[in-house]
Formats: sequence, C-alpha cells, structure tokens
Amino acid sequence: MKKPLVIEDLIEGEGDQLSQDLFDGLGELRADHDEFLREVKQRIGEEAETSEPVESEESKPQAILKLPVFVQRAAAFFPPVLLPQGMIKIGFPVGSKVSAKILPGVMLFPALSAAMVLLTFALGLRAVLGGKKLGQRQNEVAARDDSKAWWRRYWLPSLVMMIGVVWMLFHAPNDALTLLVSFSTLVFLGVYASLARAGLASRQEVAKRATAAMYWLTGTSLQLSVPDTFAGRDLTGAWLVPLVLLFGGTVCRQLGNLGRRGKGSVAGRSWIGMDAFFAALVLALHFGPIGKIPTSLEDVNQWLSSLDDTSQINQVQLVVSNMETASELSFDSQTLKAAAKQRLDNEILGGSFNHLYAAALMELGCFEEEHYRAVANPEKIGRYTRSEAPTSSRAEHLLPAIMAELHLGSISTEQREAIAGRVIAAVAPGYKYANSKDLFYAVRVLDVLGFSDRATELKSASDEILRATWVLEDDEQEGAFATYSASLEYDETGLARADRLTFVWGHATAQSIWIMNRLGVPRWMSARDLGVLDAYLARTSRHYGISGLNEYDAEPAAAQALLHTLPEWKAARAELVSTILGTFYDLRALLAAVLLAAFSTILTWMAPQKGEEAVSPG
Amino acid sequence: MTIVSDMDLESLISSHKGPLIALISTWGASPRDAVELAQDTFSEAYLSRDRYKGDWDDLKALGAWLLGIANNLFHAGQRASSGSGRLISMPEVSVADRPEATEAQEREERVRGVQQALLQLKATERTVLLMRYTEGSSLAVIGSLLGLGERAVEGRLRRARAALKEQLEKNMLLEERS
Repeated sequence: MKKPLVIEDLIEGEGDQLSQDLFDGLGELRADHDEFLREVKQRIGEEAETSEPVESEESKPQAILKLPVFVQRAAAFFPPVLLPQGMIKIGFPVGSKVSAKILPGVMLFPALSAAMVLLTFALGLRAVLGGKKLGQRQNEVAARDDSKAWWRRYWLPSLVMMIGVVWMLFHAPNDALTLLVSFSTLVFLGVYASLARAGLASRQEVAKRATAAMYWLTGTSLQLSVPDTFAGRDLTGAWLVPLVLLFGGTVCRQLGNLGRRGKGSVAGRSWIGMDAFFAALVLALHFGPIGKIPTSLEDVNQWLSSLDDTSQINQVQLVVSNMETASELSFDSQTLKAAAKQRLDNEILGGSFNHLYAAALMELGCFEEEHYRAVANPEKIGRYTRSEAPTSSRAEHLLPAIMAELHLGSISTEQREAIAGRVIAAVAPGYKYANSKDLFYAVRVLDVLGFSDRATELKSASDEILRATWVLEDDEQEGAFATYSASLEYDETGLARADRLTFVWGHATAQSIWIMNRLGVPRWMSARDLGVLDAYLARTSRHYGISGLNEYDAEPAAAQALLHTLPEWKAARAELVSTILGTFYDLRALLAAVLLAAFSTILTWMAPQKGEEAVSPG
Repeated sequence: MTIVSDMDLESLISSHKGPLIALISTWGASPRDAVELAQDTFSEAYLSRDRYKGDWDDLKALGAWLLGIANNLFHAGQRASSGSGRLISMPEVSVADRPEATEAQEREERVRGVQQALLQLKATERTVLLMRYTEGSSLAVIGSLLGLGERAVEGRLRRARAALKEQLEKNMLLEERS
C-alpha cells in the first residue's frame, strides 16, 4: 500500500493524481523520520564527545585564570607580598583577536625597547659623569629650578611613556618591562643627579630612593617573569632581572648606610636577611618545584609509566607515537593497560563507550578480542564505501571501525582501496574547519589499510592546511599551529598572528609535527619558523614541579623531541645561530636592569655624605 | 541527548527535513548523499545553535540559517570529492508497451513518466516541485529555504506544475508517434 500524500496548505488544483504521482516518484528522497532523527543525534553525540577542548581559560589545567585580564596585568605592578595567595601564578591571557590591528606597533616593541636601553646608557653616563661634580656646591634655588625644569620639560613624555608601558603590558610584557626599567632609570637619574649635584640630596636619600625604586621593580619584574610568558633558565630568561634589581637595591642601601654611626647594624642585618629571602624566592619560583620547570623526556617516560587515567587517551597516544618515532620511548605500559582494561570492560558492557577513543586504545595495545568485537561495525564501513560523496563520516570516526574489522580480518581489498581513495579525497584544505586532525587521521587510516605510500597524495593538502593554521606571535618569539583557521586573524600578507599563543594549540601543534614527520616540512616554513615553533614547544612543555606532569605538558615535550629529529630542523639550526644584535635583543630586559642598578650605585656613591652639610650658606 | 528548549530539534527536522533533502538533491547530490548531508546540516545546526541570532519562530531566518549550513557542508564535500556534482539520480525510464498491464503497473509507469518529465524541466521548476512533493511540505517552509515569500512559492509552484503537465503531454505524444 502506497503512502498517501498529505498537504496542509493545498493550492488550487493540487489535489489531483499528478501530485500523488510526484510524491510516489520522489520516494527515494524521503527519509524515515525516526531513523533520520537517530542519525542526527548520533552525529551530535560524536561531535560533542570529540570536539576540541574549548579554547578558554576555563580549560587550563591549572585553573588560575579566573580574574579579569585587567586585574591580571595590574597585579604585575604590586609587590608579591600584597597579593592574595594564588595570584602570584597569574598568567597572561592569550589569543586576543585585536592583535592584528595593533600589529605594526607591536612589531616595533623589541626595537623600541632595545633603543631605549641604549638611550638610557647614554643619558645615564651623561647624568652621573657629565656636568659638575656631584656634591659640588650649587645654588640651592638653581638646583631646585633644575629639578622642576626636568619635570616641566619631560612631564608629557613621561606621561606618554607610562601610559605606553601599561598598554604594552597587554601585548609585549618583556618589552614593557624593559621600557619600565629604562624609564625608571632616566627619571631617577634626571631628578636625583640634579639634586645630588646641588647637594640637596644626600647619599642616604639617594640610596633610599634608588633602593625603593629597585625593590619595587624587583616585585614588578618578578610578577612578570613568573608566568611562562618569557621565562627560561638561561640568561635570556627573565629570572635574572629581579635578581639584578634586588642586588642593585641591596648595594645602594648598603652604600647609604656607610658612614652612619652607631645605628643600623641590627636593622642592616635584618635587611640583608630580607634580601636573601627574596633572592631565594626568585630562585625558588623559577627553579624550584613551585615554579615551572622544563620537562625532560625522562619525565615524560616516567609519567607514561605511572599513568592510570585514560580520559585523555588520544593525547597520550600522540605522545607515545611522537616519542617512539623520535626513538625516545621507554615506558612500562602495565599501569596504563590495566586502567584501560577496567575502563573498556565497564564502558563497553554498560554501553557508554565512546568509540572515538578506541583507535588510540587499540594502538596502545589495550584492546582484547571481546573489545574488538564490540567495536566492529561492518555496516559503517559498507555505508562509507557505498556513499557517493564523503560528507559525513570522517576518517577519525572511521578509524576504530576499520582497525576492528582488520583485526577480525574482514575488509576486502576492494573496500580497502575504496576507503583509501575516499579518505584522501575527503581532506578539504579549503574548508574553514580543515585542520591537522583531518590529516592526522587520514594518514592513520592509510597506514592501517596498508597504503602508507599513498599518504604522499596528501602532501599539497597538508602544506595548505598547515599554512592556514600556522600562527605567529606578534613579537615573533613563538609560533604554533592553531586548532582551526576559522578563528584566526590574518594580516595583509596572509599570515595569522596572535598576541599570545595558547597552550591549547599544543595538541594541534603536536599533530602537525607528526604530519611534518610523515609528509615533510612545508616549503613555506623557514628556519626561523622552526625556531619559533621550537620556542613555543619549549615554553608550553614546562610544568609545575609541585603538581607534576600532565598531558598538556607531555604533548609538546614529545612533539619537540620529534621536531628535533627532522632533517629540516637540523638544517635550520645552522641558520639559527645567534647574532650580536640578536643576543642584544634577547638580553634587553636584563641590560636595562643592569643599567639601572649600575647607574643608581654610581649616583649613590658619588652623592655627598650628608646633604645639609654640603650646602652651607654663602 | 538533551535538546535545549530554545531549539526544538525534532520539530525542526519534522518540518524542514523533506524540502532540505530535496533542495540538496537539486544541487547534484545523490538521494543517499542528500539525506546524509541533511543529517549533517541538522547536527551542525544543533551544535552551533549558540551562533544563531534569530528568533526560533522566525521561519525565514531559520530557513536561511539552515540553508547556509547546508550550502557550506555541500561545498566542503564538493571540494573534497574530485568529481563535479551531478544531477539527481532518477532511474532511466523505459515505458514498456504492455496492454495487459495491471493497475499497479500503470501507476508505476505513470510515476516513471513523471520522473522523466521532472528531469526535463528547468531547474527552478524542478526544485520547487521536489521540495513540495517529497514530503508535502508547506509553502512557508519551502519559502524560508528558498528566500521567497509564500505567494512567490505558490506562483512558482503553479508554473512548475503547468510546465510538468505540458512536458508529460509532450512525452506522451512522442511515445505515441514512436
């Protein structure tokens, strides 16, 4: 019995046989409502379960970024002792969409801050060594006029500079710190060199001001350096800046105390104790377990060996794969397998198993026969090979079913070839949501089907997708591969930029490096690109020693190990040799701190012992 | 699966499934692919429902939004597949000369005749007929997907029906002559 056509808003003449014939003739386009709804819900379930982690601050494992951006940045201006517990670890927000608009200014920051260091050096020399000898008697009124004249002359540049520095904190904290320190040096020298020269400021007063300024900047630089924005353990890491400032402050204070009779010995000892405490704090925050420490490959192997959580098994599988390819894998998988077995038994039996974790668990050797049988889905493979256009099932969804079927030995050669062809054709580099995951799973499907050699057919698509998702940090210190290109902002040259690169892109970046290992580094990637990619991996792989390693740290560490095995990386290293100018750029914050400490010390030393004695009437 | 109250997925599928599948099929997808693409469209619509800024009761806005998603998915699929799109797959028609045909056979022949005539119509005419008669969808829903008002859809439907009848008569004449 044919189903009758039902039309609620019939038009004139429509209730005829022709309408019913049309309805009968279009039966092939009619989908059963319940079946259709079930398929839609299944798709929704699969997408929701496998969607990438939301790139929000909430998803950060160390969930410390709950505060507004302004508060986070402003916190950098307060000494640590005034901050509530926990705020000391405040990091910087990432991926602002406005970055592309302010790009020209941001790109000038390193040059601007480096120029400021040179200017500080020149003006500082002139201030402490030029003109009249410090302490030489000078007309008091003229000296005060000197000081007032300095502010009259420089109030506008000073205001602009301070506003600029605060603004820069949002976009280039390293340069903001450099400018802040250099600016402080100039202001300090501009005011106190004049006062000291006039004999209006004694050594004690100069020392007091210099010490206070440097202690304040110690706190500021510590706040800025503790988050993993530009930290590092070498000289270019900002850990040395607060130490230099602390040391400078201590020296100035001690100079100020010289010649003071009968007091200060107990107070002086307690100050030195405080200095030692803060120095220890700086070192502990950067090198101790409460700070972020580099992740070694031994750490990764130990973490894998002790891993009993399979909730992020896809990331774990990628870590294992990248470590294995880099010939760095040596872990005991017993704990992981036991945890996986328990999960598989519970979830497969309870019908709650997410098949998109299956491929990773299979590759890690966690599947047993009954698990394979539970995941096998010949209908899905049949449907995929029969369908005309690859619009629904993605390689990621298909891989577990293929692996299970292959394990059970039931995929024909024709089906394998059909799947391989369709998986390759399904990678759409022009699609706005095309990403490294598409490539990653397509190549894995080809591998399990025994068509690894056909992966080269994806080379041009790979280059295009990697190009579309490549993001360079505004200050060009780091580069990474974003999860999707759709959310990126491109400059006029077609290059995506962001003011900070999020750690969430670590997974896409690790997959991209896996792809580069299989298909080659794209030709558009320069040695410098590989260098900034390495810098991103080095930063994001650091982990908090006190809380231990997690997959967000292990993934970039393993990816970096693989990157370092690529022939293109080895060739790039030769081009990445530091130049004098490059070293100067890298050390600009440290040099600014050294200049402030050095000029303050010189100015303090050259100031008269007691201002009131130096300025005698007449 | 919890469906949020703002978007009634089930009723959306119920009202838009037929015309959307029909519309996709006119873009060159096979019936099976059109169904799958429509399923993708509804799932994508549900997953990205937060991005929909219109009123859920505004049929026109809803239709345009669904159409946009379907369009994107279709073009993504087109880019992925090496081949170009093709016309809706209607079976080849060969009306046999069988005087003793039963009523069921007669109906089947009539339906085949309609299928063949559909393929000979202009694309706009074929589209509106497919969207209307795949599931008997309302003029309002069809209009929402085509970006037309109900009166415009009605006018287009009348013209398409007239063109189809004319085509059927032409085909019958040709058949008789042959």
